Amino acid sequence: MARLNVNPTRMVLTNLKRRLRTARRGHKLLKDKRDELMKKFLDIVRENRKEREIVEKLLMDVHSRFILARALMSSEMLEEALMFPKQKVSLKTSTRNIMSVDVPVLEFTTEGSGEEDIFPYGFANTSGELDGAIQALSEALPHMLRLAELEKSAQLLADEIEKTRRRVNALEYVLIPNLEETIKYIVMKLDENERGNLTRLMKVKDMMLEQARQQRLQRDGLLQE
Amino acid sequence: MARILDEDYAYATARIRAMENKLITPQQYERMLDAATAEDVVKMLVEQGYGMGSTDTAQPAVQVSEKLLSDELEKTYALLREILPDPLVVTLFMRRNDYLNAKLILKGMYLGLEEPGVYAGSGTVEPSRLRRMIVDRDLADLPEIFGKAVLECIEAYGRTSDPQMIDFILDRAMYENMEKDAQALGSPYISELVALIHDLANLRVFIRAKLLGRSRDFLAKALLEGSKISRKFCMDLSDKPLDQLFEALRFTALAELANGLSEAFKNGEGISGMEKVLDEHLMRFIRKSRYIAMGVEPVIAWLFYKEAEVRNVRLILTGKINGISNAVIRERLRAYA
Repeated sequence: MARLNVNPTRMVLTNLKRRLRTARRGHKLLKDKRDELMKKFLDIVRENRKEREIVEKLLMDVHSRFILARALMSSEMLEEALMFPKQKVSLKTSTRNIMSVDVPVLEFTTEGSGEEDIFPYGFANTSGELDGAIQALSEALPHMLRLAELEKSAQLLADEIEKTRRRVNALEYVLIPNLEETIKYIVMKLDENERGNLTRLMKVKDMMLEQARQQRLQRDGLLQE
Repeated sequence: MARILDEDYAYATARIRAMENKLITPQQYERMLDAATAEDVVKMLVEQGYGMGSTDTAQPAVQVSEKLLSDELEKTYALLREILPDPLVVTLFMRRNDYLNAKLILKGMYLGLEEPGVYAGSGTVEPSRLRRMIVDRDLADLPEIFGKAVLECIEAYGRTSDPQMIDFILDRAMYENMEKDAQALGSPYISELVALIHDLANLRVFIRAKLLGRSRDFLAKALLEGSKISRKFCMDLSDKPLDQLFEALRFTALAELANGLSEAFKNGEGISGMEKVLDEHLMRFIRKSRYIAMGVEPVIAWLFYKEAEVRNVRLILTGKINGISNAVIRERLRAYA
């Protein structure tokens, strides 16, 4: 682990300790966020799978019905029947916040003479198979929008999870160990200084005692003479 | 106009009788259904004499099939116009394509399109000319009913902005126009045939609207005038369940239909089963012409056979291109001969 390039002083130590505390706290929070995001993501993915199965089943049904309608009508007749839709659909987009991720919310409203008024053609010269196709398609629309919403949400959450995971890892495996190492280094350095001081003091004390002893011996010698 | 006698149809009948044998038989349909790919079906059709002789069988079926079928219909109409003493007999049926083109033009116009993109061939009026007439509101050359209906569409769309009204008005006008043309021809057979087509279309509208649970108001707009199955007949049944229609049908000229429709309804076959019953009823009527030695009947019958044939071929081709199972296709094939 790389040690930070700092002066081993007490003030730096205090700062680093504060930073370590914040980093640990941030790490815990980010880890919680990641876990919660993961939970939400998995919920969305599960719902997404269910919705995709529904949409695919519906679209297959729509497709086969359209083929049958197409098989029973000439291309011009089918074109004429479907060229001018009767119902207008307006789509309102907004966002919803999941763990600080803005996921899209799609709401659609239909404008037309009535909810059920989805057939834009006359019934006398078109095939009845077309009704089923249009009805199935109209049933599929809300599911398709919900699926779009879920897939985009899952994508955005996955990005956010990836970002959070990277941050958690950076804290866990880089910043926190580096801080710990630096703190350890400073503490050791400070201890070392402390020990050096102590030894020096003891040495001075020894020297002073020796000096005092010498002085006393000298004094005693002089007295005996 | 001098009355056209059955004898005047001698040449046409003889020619048609010779060609009746060339219609696709049920065995040939089976062969087409058993074909591995749609391209093989196209090859079989070309061998059968389909198209104008310009079909490139090496091309994928999806690119050539629609042209092949429209060419075949065009060829049919052209031949009939050539051999019939009075072209009105065919133009009466070709008029349906004019109405379809008018719908395309009107809807395209309201969508702001320069051209609708596709037009139905085999009409009596060139689509570009029809478009000019509609855009310039210069409708004098069209039959009176047609012209009035176009103006009514323009007025109704301006009032309601509902594209479905265009279909309703033009469908209604189309059947009226056909009835009027049939009267002008003075042939009881054609009058009866057109009346039957009109009634069957009305029944189709009624059944579909009921199956979709549409309101009485909707029926009032969508129903055709009808002939024996009149608008009033249907409106009286509009608030009742659908099986009441089958009961009521037993006391009309279309009593034969009651059982078939009721059975299809009870078996839950839905609209596709009931449409098949309606189509087959028309074919039964057409088939009666088999024993007529000379006259307009065999010629018209051939036209209808050919149309049904093209419909069946389209079903098989579309089915083959899109991988629909043979059982589903077979269920929808119409028997005609």
